Amino acid sequence: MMAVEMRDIAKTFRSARGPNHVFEHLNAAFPRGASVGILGARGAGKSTLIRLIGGSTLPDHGKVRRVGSISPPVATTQAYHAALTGRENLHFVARVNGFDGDAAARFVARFAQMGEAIDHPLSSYTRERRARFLFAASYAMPFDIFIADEALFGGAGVFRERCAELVQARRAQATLIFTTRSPQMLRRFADIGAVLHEGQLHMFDRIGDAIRLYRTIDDSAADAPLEDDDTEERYVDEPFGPLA
Amino acid sequence: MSYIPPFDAPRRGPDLSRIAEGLRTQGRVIIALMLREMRLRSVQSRLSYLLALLEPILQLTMMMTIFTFIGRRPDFGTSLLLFLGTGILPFFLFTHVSGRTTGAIRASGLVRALAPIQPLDIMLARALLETATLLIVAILLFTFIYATGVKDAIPSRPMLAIQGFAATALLAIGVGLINGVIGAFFRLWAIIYGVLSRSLIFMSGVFFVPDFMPPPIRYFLSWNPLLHGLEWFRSGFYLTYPTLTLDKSYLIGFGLVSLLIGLALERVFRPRLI
Repeated sequence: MMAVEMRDIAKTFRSARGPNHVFEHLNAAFPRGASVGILGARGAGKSTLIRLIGGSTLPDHGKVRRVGSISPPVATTQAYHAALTGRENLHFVARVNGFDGDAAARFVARFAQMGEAIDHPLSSYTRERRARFLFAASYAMPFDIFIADEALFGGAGVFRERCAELVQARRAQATLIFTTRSPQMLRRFADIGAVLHEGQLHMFDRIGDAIRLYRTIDDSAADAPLEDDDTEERYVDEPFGPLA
Repeated sequence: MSYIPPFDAPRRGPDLSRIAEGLRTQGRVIIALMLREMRLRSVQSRLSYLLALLEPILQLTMMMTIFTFIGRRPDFGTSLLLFLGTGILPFFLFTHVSGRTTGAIRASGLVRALAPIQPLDIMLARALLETATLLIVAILLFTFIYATGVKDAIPSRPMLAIQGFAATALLAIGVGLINGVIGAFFRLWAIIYGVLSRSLIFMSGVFFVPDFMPPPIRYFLSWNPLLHGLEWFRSGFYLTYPTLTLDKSYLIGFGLVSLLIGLALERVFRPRLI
């Protein structure tokens, strides 16, 4: 049983420097209940792939079939509004997806140790609190499929460790699809390894095979440090919604 | 256009349970969007939503002051306030609903932020919220007119007034969907449409009774669908209101055709709506 199937996907971005064919005939299938980690070099189309899976970008051609509810990419802010409180934003996302907003708000308040701040507007959050809110909120609802583009967990100190445990817990309950440039992340969170290269997705049942292929493609990746720190910063700096 | 949409449900023929499931999802999404929109309107100031409700009443008061000053008599009935009120309300219903839908997609910032939300839901949520707001405005406005001592402010044939309101809302939502798609591509459209739709106030019978106009002018005016909505609504308040010009099927037909055009435009341009 497949959670996400992609058939004959084509996606081209047109810019002043001419068209950029990210995918021309991409086929992929992500099995239900498994965690798939996708390795890819810079510019391989990892973000585009995640956005196609999540539906925030539509393919020029081809079909994406999703079975079950799908989360927005982890720690993205597009659905949130800076002027609304954390609780109101969570209720909105829960209501749209048919989940229990109160349960989600209780979970986030407890897990991110937000206390009363859950009832303050997002624009008033400090940097650290914002990161905690975003990551806790990403895993607060029982989606069937979770997707993440580079940032899988984040925050600082003890929260960061608990957040990683939370990802492991969700991985046991749902389908997880994430991209990364770090082989260590794959070892830690994936059941199935995949490499995105030249518009094709190569999948391996053994993580080691995926990492070996990735290293032959991208030499610089061999000794690359764990990079989630830097990608996490990237997401946390993004302002909330249109008002911020 | 060779666009094939992503689909979320298992591969099966269309059966009733799937249609029902789809409608439930859409209803849930639209209600969530309406609640968010309502909340966002009162973000800057707690008074802003109240002001939106009072705006037609304020505007009516202004007009009343001017008309009383120049000594104008109502074209029909004894109360100038009621005559203008029954005209201005359907007019506001049309301009507010169709106008506010124009920028809906961009203003929400939610296009494809969450998988279940489609551009159509965003436009419909705004149009329906605005219709509901105008319903409250109608109740407030006619209560206000009643309170000033005009006993006719309670419609003598309420069904006609409700039907007129509903038909005008249909027209407004249909035109609003078309506007929403145009507005997503062409920002200035909101301003252009605002000017155009406001100028309709002189052609929709807010200040006059169409049947009292000379036939050539009446014929020319009868092409304006909003005029029929106004006539229909007003005929619910006055027992003897002349409705020679009123063509209900023209109004409903116009509304349904614009709704279909709006839905078709949304479907064709869906991949490019931002």
